[in-house]
Parts: sequence; C-alpha cells; structure tokens
Amino acid sequence: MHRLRASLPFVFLLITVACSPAPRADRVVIYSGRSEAFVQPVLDAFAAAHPEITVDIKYGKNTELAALIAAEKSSPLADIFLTTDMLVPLGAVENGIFAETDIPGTAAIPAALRDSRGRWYSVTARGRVILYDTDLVTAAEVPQSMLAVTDPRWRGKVAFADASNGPFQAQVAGMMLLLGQERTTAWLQALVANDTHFLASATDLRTAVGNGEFAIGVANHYHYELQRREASGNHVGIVFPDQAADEMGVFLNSATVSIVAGAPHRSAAETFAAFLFTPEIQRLFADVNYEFPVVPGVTITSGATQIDDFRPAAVAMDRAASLAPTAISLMQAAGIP
Amino acid sequence: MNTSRPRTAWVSSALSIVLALLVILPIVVLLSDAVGTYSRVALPPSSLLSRLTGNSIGLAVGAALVATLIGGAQALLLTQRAGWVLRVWRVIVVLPLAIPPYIVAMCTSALLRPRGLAERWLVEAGLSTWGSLPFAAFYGLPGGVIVLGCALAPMVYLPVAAALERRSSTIDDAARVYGLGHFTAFVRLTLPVVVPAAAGAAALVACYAIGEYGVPALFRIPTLSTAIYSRYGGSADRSGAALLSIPLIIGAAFLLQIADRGAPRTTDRTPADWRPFPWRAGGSRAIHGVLVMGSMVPLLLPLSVLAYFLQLPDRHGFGTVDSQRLVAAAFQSLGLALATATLATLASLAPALALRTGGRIGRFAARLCQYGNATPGIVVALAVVVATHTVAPWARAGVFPLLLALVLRTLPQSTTTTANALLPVAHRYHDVAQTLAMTPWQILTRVVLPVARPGVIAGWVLAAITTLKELPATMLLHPAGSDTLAVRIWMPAADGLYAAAALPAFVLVLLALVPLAVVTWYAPTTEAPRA
Repeated sequence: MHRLRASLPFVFLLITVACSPAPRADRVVIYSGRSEAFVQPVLDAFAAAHPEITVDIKYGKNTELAALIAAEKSSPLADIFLTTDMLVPLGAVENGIFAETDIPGTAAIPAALRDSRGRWYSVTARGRVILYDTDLVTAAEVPQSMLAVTDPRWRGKVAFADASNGPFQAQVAGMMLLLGQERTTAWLQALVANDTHFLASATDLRTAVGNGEFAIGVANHYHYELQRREASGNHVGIVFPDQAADEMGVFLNSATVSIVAGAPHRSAAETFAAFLFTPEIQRLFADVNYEFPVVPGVTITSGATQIDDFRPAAVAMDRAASLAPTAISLMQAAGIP
Repeated sequence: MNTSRPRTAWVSSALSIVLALLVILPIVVLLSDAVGTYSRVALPPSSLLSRLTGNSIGLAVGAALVATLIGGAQALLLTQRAGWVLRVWRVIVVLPLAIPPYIVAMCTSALLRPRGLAERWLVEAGLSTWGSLPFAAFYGLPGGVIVLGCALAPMVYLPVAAALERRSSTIDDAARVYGLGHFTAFVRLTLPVVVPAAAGAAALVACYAIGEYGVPALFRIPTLSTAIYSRYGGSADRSGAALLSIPLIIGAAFLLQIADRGAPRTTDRTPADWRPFPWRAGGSRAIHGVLVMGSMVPLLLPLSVLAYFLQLPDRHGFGTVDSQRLVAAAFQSLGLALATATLATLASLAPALALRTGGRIGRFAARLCQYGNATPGIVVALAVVVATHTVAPWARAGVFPLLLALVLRTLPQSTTTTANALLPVAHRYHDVAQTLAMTPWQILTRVVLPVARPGVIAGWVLAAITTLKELPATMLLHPAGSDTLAVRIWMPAADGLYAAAALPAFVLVLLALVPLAVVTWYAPTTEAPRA
C-alpha cells in the first residue's frame, strides 16, 4: 500500500507523457496569433470539408509564436502560421522560416497584400481608424486626421495602444514613409506631451472608449464594430481618417497565413491554406471579426464598412516592415511604454 | 558538529551544480542576446527607463508592505490560541494562494473599473450617477499595490506563523517569571522572532511582484516586467527585452539575498515543548474579527465575480464552453501539475541538502537554483526549446519541453520549501546516525526524509499549485492541439470575453483550493499537545 502510494506521482507522470498527441499522417499543426473566437468557425468548416485531416492548433501572441517557430527551425513542429499583423511575417521572412509557396486562389489578391515569393499571404485586411465616445464628442468635433489627435483640446482624453502593438508600429512605420522621420517623431512626441494614454490591450481600449473613460481612441476598424454590438458602453462612433486628397489615407494591415519551411505535413498544410481563400471561407473569416476579405469580389455579409468605402494609405508594406525596428525605437524614445 | 562532511553532501552538491547550470541557462541565453546585439539596440530613453524602474520598485515595495501588514497581523492573531475555529481561519487566510494574481486582477478590474459592475449596480440602484464616484482612481499604482499585496499576503503569513510557532514557549514562561509585562515581552521576545521572518518573506513578495506581468498590465502601470513582455510581444528582436531583464535579475538576486537572511537557519524545537503562544492584545477580539473578516475579501471577491460571469447569458456565442475540451484541459493541467511537482520536488532534494550540509560551492549552486524566479517565463520557455532542439531533437515534440520549462520555473520554490522541511533534521541527527554506522543512503532514506516528510509533501502540493497557475511557459510550449486550463482562461480573457474565461478559471481555482486547504489543515506546525 505504501509503495503504491509512493509510486502514484510516477503513474501521473506516465499518464501525462502517454497523453501527448501521437504523430498522424493526415494532420496539420497550426500556430495561431489570431485568437480562438475568430479561428474556430473556420476550423469547424475545415473539419466538415476535410474530415480526413486532423487540425492541432496552438494559440499565442504573433511575435512569441514567430520566436517559437524560429527556435524550432532545425526540426519544425508547426505547418501553418496565422498572424494578425503583416509586419510579423514581413519581419521574419529573411530568417528563412517560411516556405515559398503558390497557394491556389491567391493570384487575385492585390500585390501589396501578399509576398511575391509566396512566403505569406493576407487572409483579411483591417484599417486603422479613430473611435470616439458619442456621448462626449459630436461627429462635428471629432478629429478627421491622425495628426489632429495631438490637439491640446484632447489633452489626457486620447487612448492609443502601447509600443508593442503591431498595427500601431505599422502605422508609425507607414507615417515615416509618407511624412518623413522628423514629422513622425514630432507627432509621437506631441502624443506623449498631450498626456495620451497607452494601453496594453486593444479590448481594454475599445471598452474604455465605449464607456466614456476616453473621448477618443485609435484602433482597428473592427474594434468599432465589436464595441457597438456590446450590451453596454456601446455609444461609439468611427472616423476613417485622412481622406482629403493631400492627406495620408487609412493605414491598412492584415491577418496573414504562411506555411512553415520544412513543415512536417506539407500537403495537408497546403490544403488548409488554399481552403482559406475559397469564397465562402473568405467571407466567414472576415465575417467573424468584421474584417475585409482580400479576394476581389467577396464582400462581407454583416453590413459593416467595405474596403472600397475609404481611401487607403499608399504605403509599400515591405518598405514599412524594413522601417519597423526604427519605428519601434522612435516610439520608445518618445516615451511610449 | 561532525568534522567530515557526510558523503550525501558531496552528491547533493554535485547534483546542485548540474541543476544550477540548467537554471542559469536561460539567463545566459538572455545575456548573450543582450551582449550580441547591444550595438544596434537603442536603449530606452532614461526618462522612460526611470519611470519603468520607479514603477517596478513602487509596486514591489508597496506590495511587500501591504502583504507584510496583512500577513504579519494575521500570523500574530491566529497563532495565539488553539482551537478548531482558529484552525479554520488559518486555512482561510492561506487560500488566496490558490487564485492566480491574473484572475484576481481580472475580477477586480471587472468589478471596480469605471463603468464596471460596481458602478453599474450603484447607478441602477439610484445611489449614484455615471462618473460621479472616483472609480477612475482604480487604475495606477495604489490599486495594483493593494490587489497584489492582498493576493500575496499568505506568502508572509506562512513563514511568520511558522516562526512564531517554532519558538519555544519556555522563553515566555521565563519572561513571566521575571515579571515582564505583555507589551515588553512582545517587543523584546516576539518581535525579534517576527521581524526576520517577515523581512525575508517581504523580500520574496517583492521579488515576485517585480516579475509580475498580469496585475500591472491590467492596472495600466508600465513596469520593467510589462515592458519586457511588450518587447517580446512587439518585435522579433529580443535584445531590448534582454537589456531590460538585467536590472530585473539583479534586483531579484538582491531581494533573494535578503530573503535568505530572514530564512530560518536551524531549530531546536522538539514537538513536545511547543504550545500555543500566549500573546494577548488588548481588545483583541474586535481587531481579530475585523482582520479575520477582511481576510475573506481576497478570497470571496474573485470567486463572486467569477460566479457572476458564470450566470451571464453569452451574447456573442464565443462563451459557449465546450465541456469536453474543458475536462480534457483540466486533466492535462492536473497531470502536468502533478508531474512537475514530483520532478521539481525530487530535483530540489539535492540543492536543499546542499544548502543544509554542503560546502561553499554546493551552497552557492543551491542558491543559484533559487534565482530562476527572476527570469521572465518566456525567456525560460524559448531557451528550453532551443536547448531541446539542439541536444535532444527526439524529445522536441510532445510534453517534454513544457515539463522541463515548468520544472525550471518551479525549482526555486521547491528548493526553498524542501530546505525548510529539512530544518528539523538538525546536524545531531546526522551525528547520531553516523555513530550507528548507517550508510549515507540509509541516513537519507531512514532518518532525513521521514523527519522531513510532512514539509516535503506540503512543498509538493504548493509546487503543483504553482504549476497550475503558471501562464507564459504553458502558453507557448503546450503541445499543439492539447490545452491546459491556463490557456483556456487566457485566450478569451485576452479578447475581453470574461464570461468565457470564468468557467475554466473557476475549475482552476477549485483544483488549487482543495489540496491547499487539506495541506494547510494538516500543517505540521499546528496543534501540538499542551505541556
């Protein structure tokens, strides 16, 4: 009896080891920076269409998973990498962690939204917008340009993401291309000088704006769609900024898919990647989060803004990506946490 | 004291050195990252750096103070008498340890943030209007300090209570014989026992607080630790994070030195001469009541908020919890926790023995084993992945890398608890055993381990609970396709879907609460017979 009790922990140890998944032939392993709520509907559809392929998925933060794939480079475990930020695959392509592919159905995607060598493809796009609390700010008062949110009248009333936020980094890199480093630096310093709040979580930001903690917040367009559908704190408005001819336009970013170089289940991975660009899945992938499909001709069904409703910023994302490290240092040097 | 060291001391010292190398491996990886890329890293501007450091120190010192005030007062009040009511309270004050600070922070934030549940209820009841009460004060250092301090108070209560109960009551008898008043006896006899234990525990709390990510992030307090995570999360370039980790590790090493001073060295207590320590405060019943009731808050507040979320209807359909998946995640978490606790406890025997009986090098290696606390979890996780892929690629899939990372994360705590469990095994046991011509192995298995067993088992349970609560390494290294509870909680919570996070959080808290309550109830330090 005594021996039995003493050996119990080892039994648990064995059970744990035995429970870890065994390798299967028809399997695809996904590392996803896009969270479960916005991926599971697609996985369900995939399971229905391809019952022979088992999907094993690990969720996390974009860059942490990219670091994990890089650490596993010598003998990869993942097949597919999903992100919510174009800068992540752009920043990692030179590491050689992504395979060069030609996924069926991707030819019509605008060239700015995919890699010319097929190492990453945008799956859905999103725009960088200004949210405002409609109880505190009228549509007439709200700034119509990113450059106007540093106006002293908004002192202490504006919320941004912090310097770790990919879309914010991409925006700053894009501004460096369009405005030059000097004006971008001045804008960042003006943000900090104006007592702007920098929050760690985008959900925190949209909730805070919706609840009147901040008059204005800068976020992705779908945060507006999500917040206005909340049970409370849903008095939010949206501005697609910088639409005048001499202004920057709306900064676009995207959720992406890549196939990992040396993926252990390459053919299943290609099947999954191609599945994402079929019209129904394009619509589904966009609909769950009110994003823009990237395959021309597919429109979202949820009655939200379409990608043609505003003028995007003319920024070459690969050039923006090469500026991203400088952009991050500028943000941190300005005092953005 | 025997002049020649027992052979077990050599073995344990050698094993400690191996373990210490494993523990410092991630730190070496981190530092080489920092050194290798120093030239192209823009150091954060000194204004930001000083703000981050200031906030880290503020959070650490503040949380340590709050935890010491609460935990110390609880220890003084709850060790003065015996009886089953007090025994129940002694369990209750320890239970907040079962709730991960990120769940406490999530629940407190949902309740007290502006337009949170509390304000909504007040407005709906007609007692207030939106924005007229200062709920915005919730954010910032004071809120973070209070929440973290309350959540970590058991870390002070446990060692202070143990120190109070360990002291021989004959001292107090002597004090009474010499006619010392209660106050004088308290200042001259009790405080000297309480202060070192409390200072050591406070240093550990501070050490934990500077590494904490969830609480400062939710309270919008930018600290060194949140900056490290945001740099790991913000770019593939890890050098900035590595640089920021250096002051964190130095701070932690410094704090651990203080903690070590406060740790009990040895004890001559034999079970028979202990009895409840007769410290009586004037009007203690009222203080007692208030304090003890207050102790329920850190436990009941998160549990009630979780219960509230559980009964909410789910609007988006995201909250539908797949019960089969939840059960699988619970088993996975439990299996990992038990396996990690077992491995970490076994591994901790070596540094714990080295701390008690080893030479200078052995003790130094054992100390290093306690430093893993300061390394951010994500650093440990990535270092383990690189090491596994290089050294043992056949073990790279499955649960092994996660298990190794968890053991490394738990080892510092296990080393401390096991070393404390070995305290009653005074050197004279060794001497007696050697006189009886027992082999070192016999001494270990027949004398040392049986005497230390209750403490080792308690440490094993605590290690399992710590593993259950671990987030960063578990998030990154769990095998794809198999979830743990921590992952099930983090994913929806990161999207603000608290209702979906509530059930797995509830399960996790229950899994940790029950064994913690059992261990505390049977804690070896209570209820010795009166002389």
